[in-house]
Amino acid sequence: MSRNILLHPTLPSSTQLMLRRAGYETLDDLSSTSAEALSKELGIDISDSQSIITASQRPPGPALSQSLASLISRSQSLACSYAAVNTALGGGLPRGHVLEISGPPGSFKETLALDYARIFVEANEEVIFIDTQNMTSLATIKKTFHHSSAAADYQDLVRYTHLHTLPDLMLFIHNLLSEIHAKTGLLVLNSISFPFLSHPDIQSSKRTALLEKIHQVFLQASALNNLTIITTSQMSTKLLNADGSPGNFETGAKAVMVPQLGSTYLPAGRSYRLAIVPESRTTGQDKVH
Amino acid sequence: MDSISLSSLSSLTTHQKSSLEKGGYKKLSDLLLSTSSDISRTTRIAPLEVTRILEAACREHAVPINKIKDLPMEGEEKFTSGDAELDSMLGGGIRTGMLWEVVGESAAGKTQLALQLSLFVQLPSRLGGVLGSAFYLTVASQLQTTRMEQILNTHPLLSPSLCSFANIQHTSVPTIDKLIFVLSKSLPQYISANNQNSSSRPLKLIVIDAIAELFHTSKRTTTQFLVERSRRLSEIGMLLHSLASKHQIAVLVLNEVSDTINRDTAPLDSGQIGYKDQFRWFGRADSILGEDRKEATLGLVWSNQLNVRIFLSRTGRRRYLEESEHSRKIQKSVSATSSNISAGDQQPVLIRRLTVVFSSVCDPASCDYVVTAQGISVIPGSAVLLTARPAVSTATPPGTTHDSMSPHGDFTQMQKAQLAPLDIGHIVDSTAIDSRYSTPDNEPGDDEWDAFWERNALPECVFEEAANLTESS
Repeated sequence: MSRNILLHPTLPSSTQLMLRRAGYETLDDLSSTSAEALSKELGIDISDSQSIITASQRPPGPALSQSLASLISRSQSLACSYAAVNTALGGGLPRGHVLEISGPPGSFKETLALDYARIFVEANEEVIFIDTQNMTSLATIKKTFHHSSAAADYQDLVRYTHLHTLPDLMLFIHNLLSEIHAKTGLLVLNSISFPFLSHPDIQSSKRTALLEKIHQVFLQASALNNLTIITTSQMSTKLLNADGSPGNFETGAKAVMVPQLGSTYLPAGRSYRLAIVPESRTTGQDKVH
Repeated sequence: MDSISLSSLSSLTTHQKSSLEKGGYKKLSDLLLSTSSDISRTTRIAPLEVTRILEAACREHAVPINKIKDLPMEGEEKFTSGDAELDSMLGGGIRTGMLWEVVGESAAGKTQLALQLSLFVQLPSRLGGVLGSAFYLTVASQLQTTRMEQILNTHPLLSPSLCSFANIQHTSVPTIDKLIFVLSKSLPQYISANNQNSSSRPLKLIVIDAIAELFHTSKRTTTQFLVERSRRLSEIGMLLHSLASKHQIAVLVLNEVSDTINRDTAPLDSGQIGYKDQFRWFGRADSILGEDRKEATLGLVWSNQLNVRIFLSRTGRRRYLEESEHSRKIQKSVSATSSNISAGDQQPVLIRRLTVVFSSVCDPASCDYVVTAQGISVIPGSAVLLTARPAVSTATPPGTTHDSMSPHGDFTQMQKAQLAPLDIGHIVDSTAIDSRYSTPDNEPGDDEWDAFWERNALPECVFEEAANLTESS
């Protein structure tokens, strides 16, 4: 059983974030401090810090209301149709984790995301599917489920909408936790990088703040509600000097491609970044960070 | 989203609304793009209350995410290109609700295809159309009405009784600002006026001919200029996608090509994804020899926007079309174009190549085609699939993320990284280029510089010498 604070089910995620920011990584770190010291350090009431310490000491265990069967099904990791992807993820994508799939145009990122959606639907779980740049239409989804065992159910289990702009995305993010319920297993954001292009003049500090908000909501949804989140992302160019340091156009020696948003929005310790790299028109590689 | 004003929200008190307005927040989108601490600071509202305001406002305007069973079907509506083989390659025809690009050299047939589609969209569904209308936006060229008339009169599926120029609106968009204005204001207004008029056809095709003409760059551009251009290109892409999905319109954008220059680039470390390597898969076609001499312009930035890229090449091949090789459709149309030649003579016909480079609705494929009086005709039987499902293998695990790279290999012969100019605007840079207010197209003093450079244009050799100097140092 992990002693990592972030995986502790009885501490609310906002508290976890606060503790982590103050430098507390594991429960052992907490046990060495007192309620008074903690309250001074975090700037919170002493009663709050006391409840944090008692909460952290409660042995983490499954909530009594969950049935054993649902526990078992909820703890599995998910294998998609592509063996190489499963291998890259160490067997499969664990539930309650975040997966970012990036790649150049023409790589099969959207197909892969849809494959995971199929798995959740076949397990009778609800999927929320957000499409931002017309890559996955309702017709494409229909075609995907045509040969699936869940062909009859997908229309009831998959919720779908378009959004294109950054304010639309942030509105969705703010409302995400109230949109999901016990039966929601998967959120697909296809692609998450596109809405950031609608406001290209936004300052980078504001952009980072928005990415941090997404991080916060993703962490809460995945840790507390066991929501699995899959995002697809376009790529951007990065210029590197000969020694590997970031360069600019005048000095840049080689141009590489990186996922557009950076890692700010991905909760550490529960995220995977999968890059699809075509090597020819028919084959490619997955790289996982 | 832009139209939701804070004053209209019922979940906020009047006091809250006036404080927000004093802080400069007028619309819900203003709030959503700021952080709680920023809002708190500028409006002097306590942070906890700001959080509650945000939550309440977001709940009030939550967008319902419906189950698929409660949504009207989308993505199945398509119209014919006029050629059955081409339709089949494209996944059934031109689907609405998507962004299509046709890229190629001048005289490869891009405009032909666009003109053709503007007519075919009008046909009734029994003939493969969607009874729609088209909006044709030209940048630098004129709308080729004569050629359109020729296609209308010669193609067997079309007839003047079914299609007319009245169903094709035309506007010229010579600048980026004009295009953005048309896409964000004029077109939505036109569409809603159309919807209210029960007798008018729905808009089902928007053509932009050609987007690259708006982004021609010259040697003396600065990085900042290119960054600005790149951002406008993304903005255009977003507007096109919104129009496409909201009204289920097929958007067709024509793009130009540039010569492919193969330069040696620095070797990549393991785990790195090379721009130059990847560009050849999504920016060029290579189904036959010579096809990859040209590549699409506007870089990765624009490629990321597309749902489909169709590459047209001239290829310089000519063939005598044998009796057994072509169906009557081509025979008829070829003789229509070469009407001066007696029926017995056989002229070699210029064979062109069409490649679907990538597509969200079909597999990459290639075929040969000819351009005739009736438009584009695919040579029957010439279509080849370039790939089936992708076969994927795992890379050797890279271990931890590579933030620091150790150099290896010989870097003394380094060439400058060759990037499409507009991709500079999207560079992930540690010294992030903070945006300013969007720079106007012409800054004060620009006209003077333009005039100066006209008078004192540097000869090409100066640039060559400068390049030689930097290389040898």
